[in-house]
Amino acid sequence: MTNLIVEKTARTPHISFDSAKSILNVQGRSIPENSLQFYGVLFKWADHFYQDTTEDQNLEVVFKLEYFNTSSSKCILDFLRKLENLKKMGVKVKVYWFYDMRDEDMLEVGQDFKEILDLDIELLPNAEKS
Amino acid sequence: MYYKGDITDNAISLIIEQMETCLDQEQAPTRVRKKIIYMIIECLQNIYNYFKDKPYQKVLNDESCLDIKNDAYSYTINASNYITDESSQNIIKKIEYINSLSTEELHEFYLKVLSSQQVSSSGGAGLGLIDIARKSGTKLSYVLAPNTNGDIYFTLQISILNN
Repeated sequence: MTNLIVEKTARTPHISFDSAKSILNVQGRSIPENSLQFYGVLFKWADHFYQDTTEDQNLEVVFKLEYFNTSSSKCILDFLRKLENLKKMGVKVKVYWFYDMRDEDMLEVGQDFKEILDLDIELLPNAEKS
Repeated sequence: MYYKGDITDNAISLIIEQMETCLDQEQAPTRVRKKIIYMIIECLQNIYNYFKDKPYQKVLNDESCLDIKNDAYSYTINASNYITDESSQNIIKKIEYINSLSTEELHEFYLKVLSSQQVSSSGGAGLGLIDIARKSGTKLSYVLAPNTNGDIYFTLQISILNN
């Protein structure tokens, strides 16, 4: 897998994948009008990872979102479902879901994802690790 | 804060920016600030998506309005725009159903829609009103005002308690 960088905008988060460390970061605001188009990058990335991966490979995915709209939440869930497929293939996937301690809604979304998905998702307050 | 005019991409960015400045100046608690910005984004993008493929309705879109007021206890968001009578009936049905649910039932309904529904080509995920109701923690209200052409001026009213 090659590195990936998508620069942030006022409406979309910064996305980066460090292939050496196998860490994918998604950070910032996610309020695009067209979430499907924006998250298409991540869907493609996950598909490529699926094709190139080997068993026992590690993958860390870090979400640090400030705001996101409901269409983004749906796209993020779809992306996490792709990570579920990677897990089924034997990839050791770990998701870190950061939230502002004063933002109960961001915490709840992380809890919802944990409830829906068969993935190792750790919920972390922003102050704990940045 | 008050805005009246067509809801364009630029207008949404401008309104969000100005509201953030207002909330900073008012030293609104982070919890409330996040909820308000979130609600505004959802309301404005709903209006934007509604008119996106209807450039011939620019005159109606020009009447779209966002009005945010606060007192010692809460913030109230009024988001208004013209919609068809048919659309208003669909939205009312949805709001009445959402309002009939308990907190736990609303959570279950949210998870069900989140898990099953696809993002539509118009950009909606069918979650907007459900999530607004969840995050506001209050029942949704609305006002309907028909005009002489049969269009409905629909206002969604959302309250966010300070505590």
